Amino acid sequence: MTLTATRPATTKAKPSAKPRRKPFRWPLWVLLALVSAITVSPFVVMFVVALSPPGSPTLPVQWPESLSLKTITDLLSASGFLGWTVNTVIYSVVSVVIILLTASMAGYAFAKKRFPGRDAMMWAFLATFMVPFQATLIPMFVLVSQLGGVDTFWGLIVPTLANSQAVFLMRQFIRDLPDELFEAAKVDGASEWRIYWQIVLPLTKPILATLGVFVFLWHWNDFLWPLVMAQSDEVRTLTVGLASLRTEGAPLAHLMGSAALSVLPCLLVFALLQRYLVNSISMTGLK
Amino acid sequence: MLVGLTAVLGAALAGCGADAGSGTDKSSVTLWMYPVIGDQAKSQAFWTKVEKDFEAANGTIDLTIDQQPWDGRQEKITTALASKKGFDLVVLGPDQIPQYAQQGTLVPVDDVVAPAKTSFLPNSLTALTVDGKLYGVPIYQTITAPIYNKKLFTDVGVTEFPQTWEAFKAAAPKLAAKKIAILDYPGAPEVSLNQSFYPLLWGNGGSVFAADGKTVAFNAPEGVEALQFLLDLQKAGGLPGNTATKKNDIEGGTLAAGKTAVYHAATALQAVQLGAAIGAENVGVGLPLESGKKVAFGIPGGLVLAKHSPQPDAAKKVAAFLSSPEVAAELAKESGFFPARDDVTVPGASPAVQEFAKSLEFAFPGDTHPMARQVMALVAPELQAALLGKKDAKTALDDAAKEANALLAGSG
Amino acid sequence: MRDPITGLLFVLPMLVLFLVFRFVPSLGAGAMSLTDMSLGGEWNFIGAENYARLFDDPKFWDSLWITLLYVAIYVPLTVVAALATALLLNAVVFMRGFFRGMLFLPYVTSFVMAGVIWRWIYEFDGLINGLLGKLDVGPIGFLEDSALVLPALAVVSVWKGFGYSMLILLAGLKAIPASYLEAATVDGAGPWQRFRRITLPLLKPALFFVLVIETIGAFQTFDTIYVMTGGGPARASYTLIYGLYDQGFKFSNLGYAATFGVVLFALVLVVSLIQRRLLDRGNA
Repeated sequence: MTLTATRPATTKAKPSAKPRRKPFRWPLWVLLALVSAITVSPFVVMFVVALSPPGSPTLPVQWPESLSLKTITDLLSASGFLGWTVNTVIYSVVSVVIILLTASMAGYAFAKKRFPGRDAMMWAFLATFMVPFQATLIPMFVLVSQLGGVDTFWGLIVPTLANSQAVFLMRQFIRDLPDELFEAAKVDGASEWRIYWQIVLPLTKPILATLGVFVFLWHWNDFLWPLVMAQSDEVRTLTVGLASLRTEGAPLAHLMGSAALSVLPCLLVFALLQRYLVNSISMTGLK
Repeated sequence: MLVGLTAVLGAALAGCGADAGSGTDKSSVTLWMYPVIGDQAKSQAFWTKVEKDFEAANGTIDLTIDQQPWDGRQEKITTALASKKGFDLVVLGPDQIPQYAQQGTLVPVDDVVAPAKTSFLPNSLTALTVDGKLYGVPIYQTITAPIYNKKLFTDVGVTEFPQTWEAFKAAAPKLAAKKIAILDYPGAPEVSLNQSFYPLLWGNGGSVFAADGKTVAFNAPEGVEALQFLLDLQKAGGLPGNTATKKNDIEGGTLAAGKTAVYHAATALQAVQLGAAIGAENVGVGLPLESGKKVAFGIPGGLVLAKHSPQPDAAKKVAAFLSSPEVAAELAKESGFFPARDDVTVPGASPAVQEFAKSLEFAFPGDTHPMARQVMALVAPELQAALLGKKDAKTALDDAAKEANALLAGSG
Repeated sequence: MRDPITGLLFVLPMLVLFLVFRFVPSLGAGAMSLTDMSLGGEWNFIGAENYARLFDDPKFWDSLWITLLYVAIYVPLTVVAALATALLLNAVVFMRGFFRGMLFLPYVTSFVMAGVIWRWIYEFDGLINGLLGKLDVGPIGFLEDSALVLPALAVVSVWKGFGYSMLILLAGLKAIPASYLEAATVDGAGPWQRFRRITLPLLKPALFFVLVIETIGAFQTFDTIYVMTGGGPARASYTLIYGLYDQGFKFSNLGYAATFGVVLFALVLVVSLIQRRLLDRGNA
């Protein structure tokens, strides 16, 4: 979740010379297909075990003879799992909305406004990249616990909102927008807030979408902070719930079923936005 | 405009936390319960019914029974008490109560049991008492005993359950010849040592802490012999290959698969689970494995009251309700544990459960000490090291003792 | 646009969040490491005692060693995996997008899920040993053997994360002008020489970036260890972060746990500075 080094500027590949048609190198193709198959195989076995009818033999003994949704429906009808899912949705979605808003506001100010201490502030924000989250886990826990935030949604969410990557990214993007746009609006008498709301936000849509997807994934998959913050089922997230199932000796099918269900939203994001995710990593180095 | 937005955000966030607090004229009590009833569906049904019954009888109290996982129990309770959040009542064992009582984060509950004090098992009350004050209202009593696969023993011609260490060592090679490990020893650090190593230590006359509680005593000869007993069994093929990291789950475990023969510190529920896997008629229940002494680990589950609870009286009503004979009987029936009072008959107890009751007289709540759990966390990895052949018995326990004594000295 | 007030107002929400949840805890980590704070909240100032204790604590030195060992196993493994797959993707045209997606897929999932699946894959009665059993081989105690546990954990993290570095390197490869490689081919350079003389030097900035990111990530590994081994067997996967969590939340020594955090910060800082210096020298 940290970005410590600045991303090297990869010069956009100029379509130098006409791309010659590469020859079809089948040994490399076969190798690539093999490596790809191995990479996805853990997902395959996870789904196979999760979809095996309870009580009948499955992997690793044998390939199951039929598939059944019994485990999945059992999981969905038990209270724990659905609650964790709802909590994770709250944790992820609320964080996305607030981070997009506050980071774009701050990014706008850093990029286009002049105010005392601006550069020092920006540097200080960037300097926090250098401090790993885990190094501040203990003081953060003490702080939130003093404020009465343990086992509440605000205690879970608010401390994760201070995201320097988001601010930095927004600042870089907004800086490249032409000043004339804002000046023209100013002349027309638009208030600062309207300029932000009606000009900055619409123009930054692509980068907001990218950032939103990443923030969503970070929160959906987050573990250590929810582990220390979420005490009860009211706040517990999927990752924490899944980890507790593991140590509690839940049947294998339940374990794999829960893992499979927990990962579905990520797979959905992936299926819909793959090209997009891939491009934003290559262009911005967001992690 | 901007300030307005910030204010709205602030209010929205504050709102997230606020609605967890008290309602209007109702007092609300949160109880943290653990999966003492193993079956998830049954557990849910039981506790929902308890909630409803209680609220029907006490209209002004809103009871929430929050199901917690055993996993990370210690850390969660500690953080909840430290941050004054989470529960009013929680189920604790005798080994966990002293440290919290010492920190002053719990309040005594003597007045809850006072009306029927003589009906509770004396052992249960003693175990939950610290410095003369009762800190837990006992709602159940557990007991552990060896469970074994009868068929495996008869197949190799051992007709009597090996009750002593010597008999165990003699039987181990016979089973090993058929690739069966005699002892299903769970060495994973998640498994409480009360259900793995400590019963062997106690059975050999040892103890975890010295009498004054200032140092540990598990590295005395009794402890070294107990660990050596395990290592001897291992050498004779008497422990499963993954003994150092295996857990004590019955379902899907080695015992249920017929690859191991005995689990020496099982609960009654585990006996039932084993019966489901290998047939109830094949499950034997023994008396505590001994080397000089019969000791069975068994603890009362006590409802303790957090000092930070804003409604102690309502919480005490909940505790009284849960420890009443009616609820205790139902809980005992569903959980396979035993009632913590002698005026209760458990409906329809199975033969295996009745066998377990025979061990109640050897019940020992473990070495209760404020640092008991922390010491366990230090001992478990050293036991693993010994089982993995990286250290001999004496070195492993001495190393653990060195760390544990430093811990005890530090917390002074 | 000179307008100090609006500028500040726009920064304000994020600024407050940063002050409270980044700066205060960062300074707090240093401050707490000088106290004996416990979970109860009481504390005394004890100077450098925690650091002295750290110095004498064999468990700390073990955890430091295990952390470094893990980093030393993980980083080369993941960089090689990322580079190899990036090169393959760059060489293949047919179905490239599809394969890139498959390779990248684990990146969008959680380490906890990865830990849950892979624990079963590694277990005694799990997937690999089940398949080996059919061949009458094994079982192999991937998570039971202290020599195998760190590589086994590293493989899980590599599986989960290499897709990210692969994409960075792939972007770097694509930025290499095809004319350079063609010119070299004309000069009679073989594939290995082209890789060694042209691709690798031009890929250097991207490689450095990947190296830094992966090293820092490796120091912070926690989720998979928590789910798969609990620091075991016999503390063979007990890393600094695991020690921090253990000291803080199991032993209630918040002050001492904060000290582990300070050491982690120092380590990450030193490694980043060294890598930055190497990068600067590389560019000079």
